[in-house]
Amino acid sequence: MSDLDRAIAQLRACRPIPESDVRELCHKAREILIEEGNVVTVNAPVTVICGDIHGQFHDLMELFRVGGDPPDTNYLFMGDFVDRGFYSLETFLLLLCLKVRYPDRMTLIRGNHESRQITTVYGFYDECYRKYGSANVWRYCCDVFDYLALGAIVLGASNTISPSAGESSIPTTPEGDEVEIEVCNAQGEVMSRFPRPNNGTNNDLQSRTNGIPPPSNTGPPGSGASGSSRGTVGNPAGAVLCVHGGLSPLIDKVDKIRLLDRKQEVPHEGAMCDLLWSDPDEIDGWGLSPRGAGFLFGADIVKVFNHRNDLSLIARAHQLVMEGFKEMFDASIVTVWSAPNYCYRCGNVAALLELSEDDSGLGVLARSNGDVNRSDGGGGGLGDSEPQPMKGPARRYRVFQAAPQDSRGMPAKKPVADYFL
Amino acid sequence: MSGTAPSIPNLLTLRGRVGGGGVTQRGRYRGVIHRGGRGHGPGAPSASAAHDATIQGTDTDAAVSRLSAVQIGYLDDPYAELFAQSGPGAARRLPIINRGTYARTTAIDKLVDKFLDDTESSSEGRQIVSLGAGTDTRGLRLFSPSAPTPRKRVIYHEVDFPAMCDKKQRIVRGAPQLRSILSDPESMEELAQHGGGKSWHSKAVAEKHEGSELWVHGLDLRAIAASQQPQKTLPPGVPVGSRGLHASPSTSSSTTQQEEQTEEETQPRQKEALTLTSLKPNLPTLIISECCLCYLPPLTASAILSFFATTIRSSLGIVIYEPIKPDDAFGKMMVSNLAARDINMPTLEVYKEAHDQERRLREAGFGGEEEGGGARSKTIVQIWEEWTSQEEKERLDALEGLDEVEEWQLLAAHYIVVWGWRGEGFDLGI
Repeated sequence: MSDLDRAIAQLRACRPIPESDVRELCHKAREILIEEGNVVTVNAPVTVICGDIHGQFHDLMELFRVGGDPPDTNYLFMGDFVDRGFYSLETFLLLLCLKVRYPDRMTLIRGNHESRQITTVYGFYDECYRKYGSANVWRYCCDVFDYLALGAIVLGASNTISPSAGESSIPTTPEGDEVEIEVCNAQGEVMSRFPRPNNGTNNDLQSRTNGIPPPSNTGPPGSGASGSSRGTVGNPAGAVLCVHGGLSPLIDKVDKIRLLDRKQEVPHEGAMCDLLWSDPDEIDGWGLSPRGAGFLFGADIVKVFNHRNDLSLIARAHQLVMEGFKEMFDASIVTVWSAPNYCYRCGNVAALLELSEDDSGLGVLARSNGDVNRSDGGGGGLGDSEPQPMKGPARRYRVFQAAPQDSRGMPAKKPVADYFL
Repeated sequence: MSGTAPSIPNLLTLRGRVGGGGVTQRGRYRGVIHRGGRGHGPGAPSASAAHDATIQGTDTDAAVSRLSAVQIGYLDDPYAELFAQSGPGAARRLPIINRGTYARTTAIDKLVDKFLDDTESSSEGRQIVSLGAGTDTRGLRLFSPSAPTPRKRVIYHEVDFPAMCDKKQRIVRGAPQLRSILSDPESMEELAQHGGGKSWHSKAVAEKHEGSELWVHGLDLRAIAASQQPQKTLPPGVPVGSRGLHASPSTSSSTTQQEEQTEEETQPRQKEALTLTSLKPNLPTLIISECCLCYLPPLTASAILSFFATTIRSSLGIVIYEPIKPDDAFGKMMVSNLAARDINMPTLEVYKEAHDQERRLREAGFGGEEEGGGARSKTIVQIWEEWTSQEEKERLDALEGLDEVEEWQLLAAHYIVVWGWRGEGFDLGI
């Protein structure tokens, strides 16, 4: 058993590892993360996309139970690993260990709480100090935060749902009806299914495929590379952009995210800040955010951005949603929230989003950089007629609740949630 | 939690056991008082005493929250630190808690100011009664020499457990800086018949607050409910039945009044009528319950409202701040989390929504058709949105980032300020 495996075992038991081990782990993690671009490309053989965790370690264990254990399941975490919960340290270090141990099966992107300033207000700093008697471990972790990617692109997601492992009490949809959304409970039982509205073979699909080049080998979207063996994956469902917060008025192309200098504390403003802080809202265009950082953005912004970048969906986290997930703007953006009973107080359920690998063989490839054969060419597209949304990937949401208080060696001392008394 | 259950009757259980027509005025509050009354007397069951201690502990929580909001700059209250026993920096609360402390404090201040402004010309003065005031500093802020508004002839009453009043007296006595606000506290004897004690009073020192006084009454509020004897056994001279729902049999349709009669029915206790020293029935009065009545059984809370509604013959206002919405996902978790801390809020199960709270006040005689006045409410979310100026919001947002926007919406939607008023003299119609 390697040191790393030993650390994983210890952290899985929710026991912190020694400071010297943390230092070494963070050093190794930085070496891996520095090789990653600002936008990581992830191919979808069953990718599980997760939202905020916030130090709720026992609920992360529940998430792994529901979504499958790493590295068997390919995980993408959209940030906010730390703060608020009582086990931010164990949560982040375990995820980081798994990242170092299985770099290709674990994608971590940065949330707005992966920041020196925010962690001093919302608990991670205090927790590190309490558990180690100094701020060293907090410093090591913050140095890792600076290297986390800002986003990820999921390619090759199927637009049909693969059979669920669990049994369904819901009758299967009539022959020919494609399932677009499936919601499962923590036991894998199908709770509801939604067929895709305009199924398959109509003009809509044709109009969408018009102008898209025939399959060819390409590298990750926007990288300008070609010939990557990964790039041959068919992508009929369009690419999915994953980012913690949302869009920025300074970013009209995914490629512009790639150009940012990310290796720094999260700034108070600018594109990097916006990606980690912004929220979709029922407005037109851009609006001021009540959070004091980032922006609010409306459906029009999302649709134009997705069209321009050949995205079918934006997956993001950042906002508590009581039902665990929330699709908005004709399913062009979804919020995924993975901290059940957030802060041991909110009473919400959590969700993870599962995207299946495409095995349809359609081989229609969409490129997320959107600069090939597009009529609007990425410039002046805003004035065009309503962009045609791309047919999104099939989504399976697994909804789960907080781990039982007495499970998995959870300490008898109950967490105290603050109220107005 | 189970240990405290005997002191908190489940209203629904009571409702189910009542025959309906057989409930008399006589038995109305007995069941509750019988149990609650013992709970705070000598030889009280330890579980009940522990529950009382837990509820008193909520005052510590509130004091620390107040200090946190002050230290970060939400509120200006130089006296907060006198009452929160915590080391430097230990008081820091999360931004949503600070914002909530700010919103509730400023909302109640606003209503108090409206009351005091409107009753400025009342030649005989006016009074405020703060129930379960604990270590609240509103009275000190009001009578501070640096207070923005002169407040003459204001009698500010606080009522809380004797132990709380004793603690407050010691702190006030021991803080030299308070001598510019209040004269030396004078202990007084009162309410011994009702299990009270440790009362004290003091005068406002500043000339601009001439004639104003602070009266702190050491009394378990349940004794007030207990004093609400059936009409015919009350000593003469106590005004009962002139106002308010609870003295009127015709309104007994409210299910909250139905209650099982206990063995006490056959052994009526004779008690001296309860009066708070210097509480003047002829003065315009404002009652404040800032997270206080919610810890009492609904019938006890109603009886306390009824006591003031009948005792005060002048115009009367009331401001209540407490949680609502126990039935949604957040509310259920709130009830369960607080129960795990032995904090139970029986009235929450009866006044679940804003309209229930407003109805509660109307039924207690505020804003009923004959009375004039009104009953209104706003959640803490609404107060933040509607009563906080844009300029002030910007100032507060600059103090510390508030990232928990959704959580704020949830938490703040589960707390309400409800207020009512009746009679001439002032108008809380804001």
